[in-house]
Amino acid sequence: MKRMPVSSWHSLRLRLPLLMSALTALALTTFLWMAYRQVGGALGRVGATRTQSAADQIALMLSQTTQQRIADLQRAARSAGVLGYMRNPNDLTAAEARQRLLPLTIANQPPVELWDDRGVRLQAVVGTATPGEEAPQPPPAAPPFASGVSPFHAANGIMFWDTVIDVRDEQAESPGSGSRLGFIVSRRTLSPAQATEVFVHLVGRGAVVELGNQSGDVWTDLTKVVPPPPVDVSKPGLAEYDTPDGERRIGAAAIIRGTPWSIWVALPHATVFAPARAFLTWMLMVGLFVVAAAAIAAAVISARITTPLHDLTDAAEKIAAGAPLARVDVRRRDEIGRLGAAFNTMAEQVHGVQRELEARVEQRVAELNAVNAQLEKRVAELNALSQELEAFSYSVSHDLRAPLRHITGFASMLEGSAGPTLDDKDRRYLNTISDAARRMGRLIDDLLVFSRMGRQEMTHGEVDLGALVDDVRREVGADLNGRAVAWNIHRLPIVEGDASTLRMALTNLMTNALKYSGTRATAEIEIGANGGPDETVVFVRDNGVGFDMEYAHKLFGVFQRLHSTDEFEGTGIGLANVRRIVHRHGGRVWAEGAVGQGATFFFSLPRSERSGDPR
Amino acid sequence: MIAEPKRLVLAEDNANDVELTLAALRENHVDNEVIVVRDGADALDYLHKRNRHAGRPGGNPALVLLDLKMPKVDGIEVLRHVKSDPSLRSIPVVVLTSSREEQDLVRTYSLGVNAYVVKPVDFREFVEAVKLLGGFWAVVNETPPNGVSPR
Repeated sequence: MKRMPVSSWHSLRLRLPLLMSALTALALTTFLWMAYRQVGGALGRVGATRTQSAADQIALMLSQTTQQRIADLQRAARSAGVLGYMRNPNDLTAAEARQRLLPLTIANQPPVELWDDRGVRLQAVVGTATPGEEAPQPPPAAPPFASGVSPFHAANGIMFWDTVIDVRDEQAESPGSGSRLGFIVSRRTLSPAQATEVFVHLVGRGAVVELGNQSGDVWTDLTKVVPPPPVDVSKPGLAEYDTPDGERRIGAAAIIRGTPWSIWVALPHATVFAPARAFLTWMLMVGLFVVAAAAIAAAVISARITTPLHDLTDAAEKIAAGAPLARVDVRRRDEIGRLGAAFNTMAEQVHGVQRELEARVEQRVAELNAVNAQLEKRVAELNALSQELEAFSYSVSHDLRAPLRHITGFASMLEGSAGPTLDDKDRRYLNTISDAARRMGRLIDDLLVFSRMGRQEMTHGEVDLGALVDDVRREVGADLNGRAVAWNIHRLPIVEGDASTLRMALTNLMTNALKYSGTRATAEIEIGANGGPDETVVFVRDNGVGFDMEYAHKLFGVFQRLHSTDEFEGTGIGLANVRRIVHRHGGRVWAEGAVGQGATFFFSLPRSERSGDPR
Repeated sequence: MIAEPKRLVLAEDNANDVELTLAALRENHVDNEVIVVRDGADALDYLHKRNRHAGRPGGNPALVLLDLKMPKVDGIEVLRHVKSDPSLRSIPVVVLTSSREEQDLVRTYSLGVNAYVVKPVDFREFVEAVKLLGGFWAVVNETPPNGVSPR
């Protein structure tokens, strides 16, 4: 039996781990995708909240700082020193005013100035300058002035703004009612370093913090002038946008109360979603580990299943290829263990049955050999017998005839030499001697023909009985000596058989019919055929002397006659020949008749596939 | 050579048959000299002028009448010898036998026999058969000169 190896692609050993890995990977991918989406969404919301919160806080802080400054400056504007100076400027009041404004100055910042209502600068109180920390100075403040906090201005790369407070000639009991005497003007530059530090503290690194006017004209990232954010910064709110260099950001705007300013805090997406990315990376590593673990586990499990299956298959193939016995070594308690045990039981049973069969076959072969030897012996014996018979008949034909020839020969010569002295009685004796010898010769000849009939080779072919009967009729009808014969020959079939021996049989039967109807004025001879699906039955019927059915069984015996040679000549071998010929064809012969009422002789021939219908 | 009387050879072991055959020849007025040999060896001795026949006169016989069943060397052997020897091949050989056995007919004709006659039981029929044969071969036919093959 041809062995059919399982290709590695179709093997469970590969397919099960692959399937497990694929399923695990699918589940993990789905989980990871959903988790990433959830984490991302949460992070987006957190980022938005964070930027808004940072913007609000910065705005509040800046607003408070600014209000504090305004309050400080307003108290100075109502102070006696400043009011005294403004009402009555002289050296004394000037010094007092200066004393009052000095605490309001800021180191390294532009001076706090006093201007009158006509636009003339009265005083400029300069703060202390820390050596080494001198900042570049903005241009000097100039009228007109508007009370409050001004928008940011930019000049020479320096950002600055003014805080302007009205100085009014008012009584303490009714504030804000008096006429305006002038202004306190405090110009300040943005100090980036400090602010940046504060903002980074508030918002965290990676954040963008921008400050500018609500009108959107001047904006800074606290180190330099920048374009304003691409959103409406005059009102608070969240927005997402892309920078010109392709970075996506989420940002929040907040209005700084008490000023014309807004603050803008933005975080790049990359910063916001960095934790999600990290989470994803980590989870992917974990997932790969899980998939690998699943694959290994599946490989181990499938090996546990397929290894016994391989062993079973190998054992089964060995048995199929003719191995006497093949067992598998599976010691397990699960289904595979049961399968192995069942297989072993089956293999042993098959082995047992096989041995039994082999023993039986051997026995049969031995028996057949014995029978065969016997048959061969019988065949040899038969062959020897056949050869002996052949030699016997050869001897008979030569040696038995010679004495007969001598009898007739010398009787004839005696008649010739003693002719004149012989009387009629002597001559009759001599004739009887010769006749007896001649008759003996015929008997020998017929017996030899009969003997050869049993050994003659028969050729089998299609024989047209109709043509054969016509032929024989012409032959036997040649010497009828003017007898009246009415032939009634029916349609006859084509049969399977040996033409020459069948011809001999028909010749015998038809000669007999003619012979035994010789006493009738008109001999009526009918020849026909019928029969079933298995055989063809041919009959030859005459209206001759017939026979007594009591002796019908003797008709076909050798030298058996129902009539004396005086009535009808013959040796009694003809019907024996017919029987032998028909038997050698596998058929039967029989006869029906009654004394004085004719006889019918039948013979049957087995039908073969090749014999056809009557023509 | 032309004046030489034609001799017949009759090879027959059975004395009765010899007598009957000679009688049949006589009855048919075949007056040729008939040399009777008793078996196949004797026949071959005669043909080759050996032993008993060493001093015999004349050449080949005009006809050999040959029985098949003979002691020592049978008729088939004699026929084969005659028909395979160039100096004897031209001698006509007629087989006279008791029975028309198929195997004998086939073998003798394949060896080149000139005629095959079954000796009938009836003596008169035998005389008729000999008449035809003896007259034909011994009297009418001229045999070719000795040692020359007719073919």
